[in-house]
Amino acid sequence: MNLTANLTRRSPIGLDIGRRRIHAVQFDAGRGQRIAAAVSLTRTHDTAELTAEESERLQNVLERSGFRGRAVVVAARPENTVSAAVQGPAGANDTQLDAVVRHEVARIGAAEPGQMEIAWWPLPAGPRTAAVRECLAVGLTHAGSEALLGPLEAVGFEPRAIDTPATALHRVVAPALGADEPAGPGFAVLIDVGWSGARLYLLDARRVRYQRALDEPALGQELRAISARFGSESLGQWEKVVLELVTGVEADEHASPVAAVAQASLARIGARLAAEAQTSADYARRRDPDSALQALVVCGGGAALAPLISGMEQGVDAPVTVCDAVSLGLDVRSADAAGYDPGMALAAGLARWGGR
Amino acid sequence: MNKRACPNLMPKARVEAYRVARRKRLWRRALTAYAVVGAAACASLWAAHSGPSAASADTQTAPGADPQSVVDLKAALQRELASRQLEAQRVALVEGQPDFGVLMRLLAQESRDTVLLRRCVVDARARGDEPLAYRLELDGLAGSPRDAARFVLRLEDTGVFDSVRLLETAKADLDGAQVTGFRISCRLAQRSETTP
Repeated sequence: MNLTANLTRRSPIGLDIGRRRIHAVQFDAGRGQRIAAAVSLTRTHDTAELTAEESERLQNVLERSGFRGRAVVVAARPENTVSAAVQGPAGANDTQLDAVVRHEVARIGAAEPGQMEIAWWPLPAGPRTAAVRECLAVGLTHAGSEALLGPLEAVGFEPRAIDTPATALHRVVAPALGADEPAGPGFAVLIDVGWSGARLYLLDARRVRYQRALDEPALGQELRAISARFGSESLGQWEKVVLELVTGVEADEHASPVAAVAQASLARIGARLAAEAQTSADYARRRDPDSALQALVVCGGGAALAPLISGMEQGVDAPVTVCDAVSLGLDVRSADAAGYDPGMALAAGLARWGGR
Repeated sequence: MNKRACPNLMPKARVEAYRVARRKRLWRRALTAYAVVGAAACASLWAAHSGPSAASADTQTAPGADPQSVVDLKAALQRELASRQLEAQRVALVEGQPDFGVLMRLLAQESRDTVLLRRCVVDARARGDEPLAYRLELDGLAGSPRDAARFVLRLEDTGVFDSVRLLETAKADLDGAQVTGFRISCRLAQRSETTP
């Protein structure tokens, strides 16, 4: 038995529950960026919420994969949250602005203020917003929290917090943007490319300034469409072949017309996502002419697809960075952390949650 | 990084419930550790004093044995035991205390902007033949008698109280404005313990 390992303190487990996969990451507390355990498992039900069976399986997998403790931090689902940029009077203090934000977000979410939890953070004043105090607010109804936490609590997990994906991603990406240095004029666009959709975040070293869902067809939808066109193999086998091809693994053995079509399609998606990023960057520059786009950062499952990244590189005037362990400065030398991939950036950010 | 970088969208009541549970778990662990250390100390003390006499049964009955040392050892152990029991009672007392902060937060939430509370008393005394129950006496100001009545309804809706009674409403003055003073008596769910 390794007594030293059992005595080491751990962070809460960051759980990113997607439609297709669940990612979990845990850090060694007090050891900087050292990841103690990381695992990803495929979901068995195509539902937004976890089923009881999936929760039990998750618990077993975490136990076997080197995770310790019951404390978890989960991300609120973007489709269940209300997100809005709210403006208050210029002279308003935090308490007054908080009251304005609560009523405004509750109104947008069509809920009683008492039935909703709200988080907000101030935004920098731009030339057009100098006369007001502006902030970005996110709200989640108690019913939404219940649906998210219920299945986890049923199998003995102890939820510590429900974080927003924006702040969780910012927590891991910000150090790479120089968050510890005085705030500079630079900002970055972060795109989280998931199986069922993509989201765009505009952030600087100190805060998330803006977020929105992208209208682009989901990656999974596009791949399924190609699969249906050629469709001789089962979806699972086909995906495996395509993913191997696009990431360059064993490309020579599997070279086929299907792979060429998939690569071209992914490159097109990449170019469209880059165009969206460029539009947001241009908008940010109009608000603050002194600022500049530092980087386009890509995370989520799509970040592992090489043709997608190539497509992005050609469509944006900034370097494209993938949220892998090296870019984020994460230490993945532990044996249980070997499974870390760019799709786990959100889970890593959740595990870094340090509030009360 | 600013202080709002770690938001928590979990309902506050749930966060508080987990916090209380964690605190109780910590107390239990501390108490267990304390008891184990105490037991080990007692055992070593006993072994140190009884060791030489146990080595030779003859010495216990020997005319030279000092009965005073046995009496001293017994008294020391009794004092140690009493000290440990007192400590355990203190820990149990702290752990068993109801968290009135939750009640205060509930009142603050339900009073909203229409009601101002002036006095809030929790009474745990038994009355006559009634079983022991907590009583909450509230004294405050409302914008109108209707606001006071609504406050009573909201308190009833929380489900925390067995009964909520509006005892009195009267005209009152608040910085020159005409408002309604009120007194409310609430009875909380009964407890089985004999001490609060």
